[in-house]
Amino acid sequence: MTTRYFGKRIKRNEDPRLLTGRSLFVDDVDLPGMLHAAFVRSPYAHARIINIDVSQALKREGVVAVYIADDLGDYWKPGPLLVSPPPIADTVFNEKTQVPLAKDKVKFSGEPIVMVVAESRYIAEDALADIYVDYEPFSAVVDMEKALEEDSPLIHEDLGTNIAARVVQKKGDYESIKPDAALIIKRRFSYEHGCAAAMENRGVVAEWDRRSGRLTVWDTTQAPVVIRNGLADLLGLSERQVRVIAPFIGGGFGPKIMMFYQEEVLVPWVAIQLDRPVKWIEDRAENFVATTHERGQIHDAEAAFDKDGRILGVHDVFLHDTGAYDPYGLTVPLNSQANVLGLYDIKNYHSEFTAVFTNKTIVTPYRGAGRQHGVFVIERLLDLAAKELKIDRTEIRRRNFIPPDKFPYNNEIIYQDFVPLIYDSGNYEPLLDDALEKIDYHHFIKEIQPKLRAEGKHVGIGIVAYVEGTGIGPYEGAKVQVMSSGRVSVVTGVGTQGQGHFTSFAQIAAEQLGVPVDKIDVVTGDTDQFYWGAGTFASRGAVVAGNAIYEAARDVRKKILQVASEHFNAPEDELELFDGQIRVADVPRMSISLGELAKKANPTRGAVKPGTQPGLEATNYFGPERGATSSGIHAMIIEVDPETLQIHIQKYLVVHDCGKVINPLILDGQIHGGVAQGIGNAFYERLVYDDDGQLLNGTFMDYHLPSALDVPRIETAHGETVSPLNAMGVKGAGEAGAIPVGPLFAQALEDALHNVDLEILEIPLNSNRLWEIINDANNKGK
Amino acid sequence: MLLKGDVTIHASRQKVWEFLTDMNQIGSCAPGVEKIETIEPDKKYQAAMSIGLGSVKAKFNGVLEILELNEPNNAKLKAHGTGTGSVADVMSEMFLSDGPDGATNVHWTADVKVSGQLASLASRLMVPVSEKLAGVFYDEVRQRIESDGDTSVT
Repeated sequence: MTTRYFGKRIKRNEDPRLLTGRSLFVDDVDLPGMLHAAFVRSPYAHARIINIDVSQALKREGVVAVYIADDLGDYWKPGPLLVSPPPIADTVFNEKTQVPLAKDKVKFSGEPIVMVVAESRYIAEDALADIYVDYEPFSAVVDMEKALEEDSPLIHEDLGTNIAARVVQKKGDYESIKPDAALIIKRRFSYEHGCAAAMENRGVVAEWDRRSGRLTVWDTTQAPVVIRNGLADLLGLSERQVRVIAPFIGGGFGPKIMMFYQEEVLVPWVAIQLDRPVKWIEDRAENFVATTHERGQIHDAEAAFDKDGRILGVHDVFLHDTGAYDPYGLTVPLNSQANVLGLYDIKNYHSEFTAVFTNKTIVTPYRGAGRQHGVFVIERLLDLAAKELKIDRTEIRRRNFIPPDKFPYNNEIIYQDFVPLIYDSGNYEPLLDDALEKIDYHHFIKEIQPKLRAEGKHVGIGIVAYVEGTGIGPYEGAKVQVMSSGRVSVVTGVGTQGQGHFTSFAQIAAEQLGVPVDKIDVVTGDTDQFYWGAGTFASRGAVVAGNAIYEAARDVRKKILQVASEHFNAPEDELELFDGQIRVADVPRMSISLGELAKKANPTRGAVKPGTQPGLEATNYFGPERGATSSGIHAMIIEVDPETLQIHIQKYLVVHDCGKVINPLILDGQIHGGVAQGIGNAFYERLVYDDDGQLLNGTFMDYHLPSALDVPRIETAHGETVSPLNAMGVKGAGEAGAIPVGPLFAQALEDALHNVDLEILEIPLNSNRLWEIINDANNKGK
Repeated sequence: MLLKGDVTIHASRQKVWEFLTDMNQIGSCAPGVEKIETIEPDKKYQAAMSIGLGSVKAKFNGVLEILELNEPNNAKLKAHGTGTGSVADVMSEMFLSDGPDGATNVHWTADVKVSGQLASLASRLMVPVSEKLAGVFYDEVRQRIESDGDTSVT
């Protein structure tokens, strides 16, 4: 009987190290002679730089160098475009990527202008106050609709417009079905800015070794291989001269993807210039303005329904705020566009968006990456239609689900990975049924809720559905190697930011090799250890890197069987791998540890057969033809205090389907974390800008993250619709928890506050905003 | 942030005018002003001040410019200061008019724009703190003028 590792609830390999402070984070890197950087950032959102005087800073003792844009010479150029525009006909895309240091003009408050390098961070920070920048402030472009007006100030004058992009995608013909509709629901939905607020801010340390001609960069990036390639290119080095290490990272969530942030490209350059190691660690105040944000969309959406609540078509026109630059292309609005379709059989769809430049921090994907906004629109439209047609809100969803026999289901639009949005597999009704049963939906609305209402309590239930496009290409790779100690090394190119890779990846290899999970050492995020890869984003680690590990481990298994077969002079099918040994199944004394076998596979004397490859090792790659689509239902029971509008979540349930589950414990953790961020996004967190483009709440005193008191116990359950797109049958799960929480809150709060004729058309909310919306609704009723 | 207020000072227009257009007098009444130096009399001054906004203590260096002086009726000044990763731009006006019993009414406005780190860190406190400081300032101005002993009204 072989032990199973795949699918088991195994505790995380990495936790003892993390919990006892024995893991390396970027700020732990401390090198002899290391210098420290700090940045002068623009206080204005939009201004011309008239003059920069750094002379006083240079006089300060301990200041080693001060750089402005002109000091960078040829190194000063706009950063790389990270995601090109999609291959969709008539797409408009105006490329404007961020520059290392602002020259002539600043375009958002927080944009770096001057870099100071000093013997300590204290000195560098003090020197910032010695620098005088003379500005001519301009009117800031903050509101997306005003940005598109004729007389709006322009952020990038050479474009002659504040339009960053425009994309139209269509399926069927919405206009043609409109006359047949029994009901048309049309509303304006808005989704405001928030930020990822990872526990660890960004950081970069760079060391140039002039003897070996090698640059080592420790970077809080989610995509070390891409950063290695890009830095080599920018610095005129070969890729083999650059090593990027993404060590343990205290949360990525998207903004730490391969952004080529200003600081990320400057610190390595300065380390080479000065021939000394340089460190920069972002502080929280910087993080609020300098690390990318997300969200910020306005949707004018309508949906046509027949009398039974079946969706005939959806029409959506939306604005997407991309901030001052658009280096990450259109990933976020394309995700929004795709997710309006949800898990519903929508035959006619017209969607167009305009991405708009504003004088705000750059917008790039943050956990959910635009999916939230799309899900909010379609789920709200369904709720509104259900109310009008007097159909139960869960029934209207059921009637519109894509039936299980229609998979693979082609949505006929292009997705963020530039291939048609085809759902590989799914089975939605069982998830809904499971959720209804677990939250006791019918009993709650028929019996419990009326009693609570009679007692004057405001308790509502919400239930919403979503899909999550995951595991997109292009590819990842892995090297699996049995070491002479018998431990197994698994190396892959993706970075890790707390997802449990050291365990789930180990389980995949363990299953193939019969080696206990705690004897498997996973290495991620070191470009010297694994050369190829794309990165950790779009819920793709388990799917893409996971399957690469699966393929490589399977190759090693084959090699083990082959070498052992020769060793024992026994046929391969009589051998079994068990607990780090390989043995002849029926002859227990004929057994050898994998470590010993690895040594035998690496002879140091004598001849081998031509073509022999040493060791028990293999490298392999996996690239899916397209992403795997996960799905799920979130349900919640929430109580609202009608006086203070404070909320109390009594029950939170996620029924989720991400195909085969590698480790249910880690999966639960991913969902819990996602829901916590989703709750923050739905009810607490909102970045507030004033008309001058000033961020007004750049501290945790004013930007409210949900605390442990605000995040309830989360119950999870899982469906298992195996993905046909990869050998393990897995789908991604990283973003699932965060995606549908906005519409869930909206629906549950409307249900709780049933005595008010309330329509919640915006996220994020908070008690105060809810009070305003209720007052508006009450005033309208008068 | 637009601040405004009214204060009645029991002294003659001329006396109030002279006091409120004397930068050294203003500097000594304004809380947090550390120094004030004349660059060009009745036109341009350099100043350093520090204010506390909750947990944040901000130090500003800047220039005050008098844009209008219509004795003894109204005056307008502009200030621009930098510090702590932030910029403050202020446009302030005062209007003097005759009050009851020979007193003088001062109506003042100040349009304050704070940009940068201070806006992000302490905007929540900006209005109440500014209002409080303005109150402290005009109280001090009133007391000093009135306690001069030479008031025309008692």
